[in-house]
Amino acid sequence: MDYTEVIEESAEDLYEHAPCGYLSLLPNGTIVKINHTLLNWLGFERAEVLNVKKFQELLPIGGKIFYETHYAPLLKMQGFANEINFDLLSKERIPLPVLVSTTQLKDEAGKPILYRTTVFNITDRKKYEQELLHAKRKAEEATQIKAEFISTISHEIRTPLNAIIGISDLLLKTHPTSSQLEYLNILKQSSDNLLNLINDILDLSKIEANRVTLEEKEFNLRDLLSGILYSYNLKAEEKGLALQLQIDEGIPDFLLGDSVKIGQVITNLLGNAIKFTEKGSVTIAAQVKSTKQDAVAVLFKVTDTGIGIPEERQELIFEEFTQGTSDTHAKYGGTGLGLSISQKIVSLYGSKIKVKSESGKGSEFNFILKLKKATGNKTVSDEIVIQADESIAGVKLLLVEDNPINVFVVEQYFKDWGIEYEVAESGLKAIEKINQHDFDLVLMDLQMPGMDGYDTTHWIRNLPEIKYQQLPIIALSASAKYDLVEKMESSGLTDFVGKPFKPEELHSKIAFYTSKKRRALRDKEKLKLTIFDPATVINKQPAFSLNRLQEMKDLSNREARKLAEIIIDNLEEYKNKFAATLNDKRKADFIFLGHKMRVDIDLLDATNLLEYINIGKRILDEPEYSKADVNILIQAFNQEAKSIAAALREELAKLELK
Amino acid sequence: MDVLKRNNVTISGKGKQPMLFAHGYGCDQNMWRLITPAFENDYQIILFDHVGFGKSDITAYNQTRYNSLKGYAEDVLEICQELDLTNVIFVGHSVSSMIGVLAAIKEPTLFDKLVLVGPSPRYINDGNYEGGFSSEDIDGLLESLDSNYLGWSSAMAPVIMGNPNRPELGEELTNSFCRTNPEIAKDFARVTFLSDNRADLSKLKTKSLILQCSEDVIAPMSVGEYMHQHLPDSEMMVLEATGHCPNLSAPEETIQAIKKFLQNQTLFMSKVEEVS
Repeated sequence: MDYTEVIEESAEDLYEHAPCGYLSLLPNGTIVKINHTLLNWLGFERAEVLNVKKFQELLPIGGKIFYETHYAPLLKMQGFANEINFDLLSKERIPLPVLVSTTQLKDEAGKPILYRTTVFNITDRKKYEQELLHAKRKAEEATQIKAEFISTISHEIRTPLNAIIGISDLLLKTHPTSSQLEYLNILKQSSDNLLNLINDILDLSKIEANRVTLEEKEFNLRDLLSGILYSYNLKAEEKGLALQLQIDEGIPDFLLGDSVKIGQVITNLLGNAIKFTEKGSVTIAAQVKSTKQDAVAVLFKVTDTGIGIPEERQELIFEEFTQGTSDTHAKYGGTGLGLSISQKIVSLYGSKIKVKSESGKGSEFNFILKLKKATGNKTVSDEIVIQADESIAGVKLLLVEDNPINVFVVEQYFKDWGIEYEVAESGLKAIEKINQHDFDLVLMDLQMPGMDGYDTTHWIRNLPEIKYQQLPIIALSASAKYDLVEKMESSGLTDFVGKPFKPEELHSKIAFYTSKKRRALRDKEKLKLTIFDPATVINKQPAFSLNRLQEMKDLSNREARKLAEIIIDNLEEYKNKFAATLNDKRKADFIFLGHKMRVDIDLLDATNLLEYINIGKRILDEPEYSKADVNILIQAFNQEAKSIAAALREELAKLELK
Repeated sequence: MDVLKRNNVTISGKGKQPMLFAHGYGCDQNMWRLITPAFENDYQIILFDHVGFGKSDITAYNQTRYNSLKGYAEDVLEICQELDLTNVIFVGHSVSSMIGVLAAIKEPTLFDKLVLVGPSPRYINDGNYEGGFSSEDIDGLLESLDSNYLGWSSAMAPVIMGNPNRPELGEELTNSFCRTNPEIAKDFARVTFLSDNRADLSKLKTKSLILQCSEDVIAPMSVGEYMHQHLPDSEMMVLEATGHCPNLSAPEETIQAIKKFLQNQTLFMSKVEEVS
């Protein structure tokens, strides 16, 4: 028997009734062949499609854009495109989700002549996918809500805790009896522990909700590590441990990275090492693993000679609420969150903390971070030098805080430090007080009913006088800093102190922002910039004269009026151009403006305007000029132009009377 | 910030005058590969990827900078500055046409001519203006992007690649051209299709060529004509090519059109020199 015919027929049958759609298209998309399966899915008759419709005409409009911008280029470039998801529209305009795979057939010259397309119906799969997507979004949302909940709760807990820690600190200073001292120390320690726990939980929930991002700021790794080591010196001494720091010479002085979070990891590892080591030594090491032109991979190691971790628990210790052994907590305390947080922070850098340890012999924790090299042009404001010993007596300070307990606690320190302070219980009161007195610094609670700390700061910054733009305003908040950075910057806050605050930290920040040294430094900076001292133009007396205009006796009234009007118009234009050319650093245009103003300046003997133009020229020669100072100059210029215009208008009114 | 790394800038060609090619929405610099060989001998060829596309540095993406076409135009200018380019012939496809127009408005002295392939100053209909789309259509595109496998697999790739227990999943994905970061692609779609640069057209001082395809859903003929009417010193050429990517579907025709435009100009220039 001859099967050829049957086979040929069945091949045709296979094509027509295959479980997927088949299409052949001309390069412009015209459908020249289509199988029964696809026609059936779409509800078209063959004649309605063949040589009539283009593939892209089966797509809804969004799909058409995708086809033109993604699919067609891809296909033309690589000769095929696999598993692209489209919705095809049926005759009834009902979308059919499909996966499309296409290959290009070329003629001998390599010119594409036909596209062969296979269409898979993924209606069911699409439903699953959408369910999955839905579930994923819901889960993400839930994590988000959880993080917000934890953040709110921890804020609520921190506020009373602030009072507990603050008051126990104060009590410790009242010469307690030895038994009172003991109770107080327990109270202090327990509340400190509670605070650490809350901070850890907050950190963890933030990391889990993907709300933690890495900052990229310049820092000095040597300073960071020795600072951390220094803070643990006392504890190590108490236990008789040797603390060592080994930093590779090849490590650049300045690196770019998130020094706060790197510090958090090292602090945690070092704290653990000291906690779990009874004798011997603890070492921090930083080594160059590899170096590139603009980056360096640093291997951090924290090694101890402590109790070690049994092998079977070495993986587990990085999980939340687990520790080295089941009785670790009983012996050493702690929550088992620190390592978990550290691991998550390191994973933000795409790295991992590894542990090598042997029970009873000690442990080594290490991780590698790839950090970019920095140039070392650190700005002054980044550098808070500890100035605990500097006296801040006599500093005039405004405390803006609505919670009376917090006010009470902070007040006790202010009295102790000899600060002259005022208290404002709300944002509005703060603005009132600021208008009445000059303060050296403002301490601003962020969460207040009504006008909160951000709004209040924003308000203060927008007050017309320049001094309000330079007034240090330090935020005092129970929220963690992670959340605040952006909002702080946009509202104009200078810095941040967490609640409950560490008295030394608050002291040193107040000292830093009000110190004579710093003021002197600022003055020195100013001297360096002999180009222009903003102070000299603020509230400067107007300097111009209408004499020459008045003396122009040969001008008729009408002409004098016209001249005055022209000058008023000109001033308006100069104001705009002065600001625009300075802001955009268009030096040529600025100089041209100077020439243009010459006539008016001479006529009015406007020496201030002339001076401002000259300052502007010098500023434009200086590539790195402070924007704030430029604004001051622009304001001064506008002020002067306004005064002149006002005087001219007055003159015009007089002429009118004549 | 290393601009050249950020935008994956590649330089070739034997000529002196720079031709800067900017890819359009949905693709990367690969889309010029059929065009650039024709200009290699006479020009310096500069290709780049917009941030979020191709092999650009995705970490440089910043929603604030790139929330309007101006941010992308800044990138173009930064590339010119970094390479110290002047007298630039800018060739932009699709949305990059407008990016080039914005760049040339800001720094007119850097540019010699603009070649705009399938440009549109606004994609959405507005009163009498026919951009070709309604704003709901754009939502459709975003959905399409969201659900698309090309995007989906790039979204999943880092997850998959980062899974050390399943190394078999880490193999190269098949659709290897025009890789886009799906989140950035969505932002860019919004920025592109919701932009309205009609008011900017009259500010352009640089000479330009509009290459209009015969059947282009993305930039229909009416839009090309609108561009031609409102761009002060523009020429328009209608290509026989259909679709939105003549640089891929009809490279030869596209090359000829660009060459003709550039040569006319050169002839004209040399005449002027003779006279003076």
